[in-house]
Amino acid sequence: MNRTIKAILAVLFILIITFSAITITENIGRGLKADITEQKIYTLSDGTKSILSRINQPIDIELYYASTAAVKGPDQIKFYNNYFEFVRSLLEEYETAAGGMINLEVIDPRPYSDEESTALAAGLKKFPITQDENFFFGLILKTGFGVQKTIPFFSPDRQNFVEYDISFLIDTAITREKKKIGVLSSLPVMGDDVTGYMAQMMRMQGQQPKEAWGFVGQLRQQFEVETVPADTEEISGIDILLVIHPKDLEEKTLFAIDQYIVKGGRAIVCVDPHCFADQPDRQAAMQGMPQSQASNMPELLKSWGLSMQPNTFAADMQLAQLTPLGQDQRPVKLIGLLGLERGCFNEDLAMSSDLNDVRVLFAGVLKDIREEDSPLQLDPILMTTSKGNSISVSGSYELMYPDPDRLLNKFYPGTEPVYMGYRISGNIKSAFPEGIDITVESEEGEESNQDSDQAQPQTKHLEAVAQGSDCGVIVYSDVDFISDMLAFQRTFLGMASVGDNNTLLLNSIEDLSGSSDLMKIRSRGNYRRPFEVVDEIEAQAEAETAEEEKKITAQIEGFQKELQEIVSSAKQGEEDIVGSAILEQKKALELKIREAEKRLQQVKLQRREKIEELGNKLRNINMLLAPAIILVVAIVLAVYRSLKRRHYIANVNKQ
Amino acid sequence: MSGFLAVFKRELKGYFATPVAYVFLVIFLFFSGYIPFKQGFFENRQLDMRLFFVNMPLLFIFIVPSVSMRLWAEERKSGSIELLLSLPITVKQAVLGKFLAAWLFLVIALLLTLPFPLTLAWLGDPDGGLIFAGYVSAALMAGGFLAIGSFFSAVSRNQVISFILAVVACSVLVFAGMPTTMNFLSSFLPNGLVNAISQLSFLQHFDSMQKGLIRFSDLAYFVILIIGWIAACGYILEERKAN
Repeated sequence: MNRTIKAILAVLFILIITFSAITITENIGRGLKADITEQKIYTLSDGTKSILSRINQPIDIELYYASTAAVKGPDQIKFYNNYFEFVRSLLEEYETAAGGMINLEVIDPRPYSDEESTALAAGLKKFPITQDENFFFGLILKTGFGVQKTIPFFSPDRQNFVEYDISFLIDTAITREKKKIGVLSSLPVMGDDVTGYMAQMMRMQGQQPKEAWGFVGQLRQQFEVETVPADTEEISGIDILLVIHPKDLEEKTLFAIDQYIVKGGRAIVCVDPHCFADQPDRQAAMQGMPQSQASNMPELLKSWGLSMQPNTFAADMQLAQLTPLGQDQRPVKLIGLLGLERGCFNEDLAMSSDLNDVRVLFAGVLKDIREEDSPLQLDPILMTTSKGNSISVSGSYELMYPDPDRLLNKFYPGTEPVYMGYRISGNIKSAFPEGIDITVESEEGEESNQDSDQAQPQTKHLEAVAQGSDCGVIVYSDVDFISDMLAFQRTFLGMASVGDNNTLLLNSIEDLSGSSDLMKIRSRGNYRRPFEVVDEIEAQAEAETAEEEKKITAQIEGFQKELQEIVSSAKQGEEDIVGSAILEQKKALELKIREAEKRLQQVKLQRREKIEELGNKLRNINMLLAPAIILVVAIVLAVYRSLKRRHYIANVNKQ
Repeated sequence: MSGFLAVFKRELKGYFATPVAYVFLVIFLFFSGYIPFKQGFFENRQLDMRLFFVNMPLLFIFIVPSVSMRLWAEERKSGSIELLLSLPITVKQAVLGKFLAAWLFLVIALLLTLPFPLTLAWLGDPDGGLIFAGYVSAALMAGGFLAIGSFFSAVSRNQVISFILAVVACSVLVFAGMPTTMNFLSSFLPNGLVNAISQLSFLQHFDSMQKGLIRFSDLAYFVILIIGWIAACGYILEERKAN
């Protein structure tokens, strides 16, 4: 064989081996990788991995990102390129971790294409960029069983929770059953739980069936909601337990709640040192019988690492709201009616990070009383500002007819936030580790004592599970926040949510209902890293020019006012007499306005120039500094070598 | 071993003895600093080196073959290869010595772009891990390009031809992973084959690494690629020696 042909064949053989080896390592080493980013942004949380391990059907994920359109868009759109890269990488991690159960496709929907139609049909948000181009950045998830879920738009506000959102979508897509919520309450929150026909019948008999609270109606749209009796011995068959205003519950009910949670059940508990929605019986009140509107279950709270003092309330001057205390009365500031705003919610929890406006009415104060070595994890959800504090009243009568001034006088600002909501997770210990004894009427007793008139009550021991794992409870120290009084308002279209009160409840349910895995998904941290120095310079320049800007703006407003006055005075029929003078004055003022506007522009320009100057400086350093140094070194070396050579030649000649 | 070290030292010294290396460094450093700013690094206000690294494959397509073209073509043209291969060193030692010296030179060129990460550190708090991953992936990619370049330098005694051949080969391996190429290929090739082709692309492995995720398959890709092309280069030289 010709040597050249032999060489070519040998080289081809080597290259084929090389490329085969690459293909093999691509497939065998898929799982081996190291995420060396500071915030481990490509590493999936344990919760997500657990959700992915439960996938029992193929899932197609279509990530829609209009990358071609983004190029044509304004600078703000280009910002999404980084975010898209991050989302795509994260989804690739999902694909790898799912072991072939997830198939990821990245789609750039072009104008008038089938992909664009699919995106629009699925409800993905579109933002027109040009006449033809639309900007998309969303996700469609399709399971093998035909369930379709979407994230209409990857909003930058949710960037810290993008993993939570994707995992939540997968978790709900593979869980086909509707979640069942059990409501245990001392209040008639479920209304008269009757069918439409029964309600009609009651109306015909002149009775008005009681309506369920607004939040129950909202929950029924997404979940199966059922009543859990307040005297139950055991709670089972539900996914989430909602305990609202647990007032004077029997020990066996407390035991049932405790055991439900210890055995891994999920619960949201709303206790309240004074529940305004719990209207006292008027007749009894008139007879002077004391009636408490407080609810608590200290034994259980203690086992969850919390305590709530009676007659003590969270207060905050900055958050206190104005409200009229009666008809035709002026609104007054009520120190216990708090409008919680951003900063009052735990931003590290997916459930509370997006909240803006939650109102609570004389909420209690929750204190973390965990022991040092407690296995529980307590995450605060709601809090006052750091200047919030607690106030105490001597009894519930003080709040039946509240005196705003008197209550205000009790308040003095604190130094730390007061907490009104906690999420508890981990291994909760039972409040009744030994179990409890309950009294039951024995059937055997009845049989054996047939002659006696009364059945013999007997004691029955209920065994307890002492400690559970992966428990999840959310406790709020207010009940009123979910009442129709604060959370809803009646409009001609029906009940409408007010603020984020109902959202908080729904988020809490979502947080608990997904799975314990979802609770383990941490915030992904802030992957955006801004130019801090530039931000500082901008802020400084803004502060420096703000005064001048304000002055010039005021001047412009003054001139404009003057101009208006002149024009209106001219309209009053004097234009003939002082026409030319007015015209001159008008011109002079217009000139002044234009000059002031120019000055204002100049101020803004200076600010922009300062930043641009920095950009240019940095560009020059990066572009020219190193090449310049290399050039200098090269020239110095060349000169040195040339001198050395000359010196050598000269010396050789001498020799 | 001593033969390898001798070739390595001679080659590395050789780079700094001629003005060509300085010209190369100046051009490389100028463009690596210029392109990110041109593409809106400052305006984006995002403290990372994505725009710096994202253009590296295109920059390397021209820069690396210009370093590799002289590795063997020059020796063959001047006839010094006969002398080199008659010395008491093996072809393997000579190939590795030259390759590693050229690679080190490219790594030095990369390290001279340090003003960029320093700028980032001055501007705020960048992700150190991400920057490190970017440099590692760029260095590996330079090694891959260089191995291809060495092979073509050994194939032809004309430097220009070896430069052009290396540029074409590197371009094919970079552009195989571009979305447009993949779209085009998928119009007449089955999906499996298109995926296999994209797996051979520099771009796919470089992209994932410079984002801070170092996969075994990406590292293996560069290592196998370098070993394969260097082996092919060695084989060609062995053949020439026998001739």
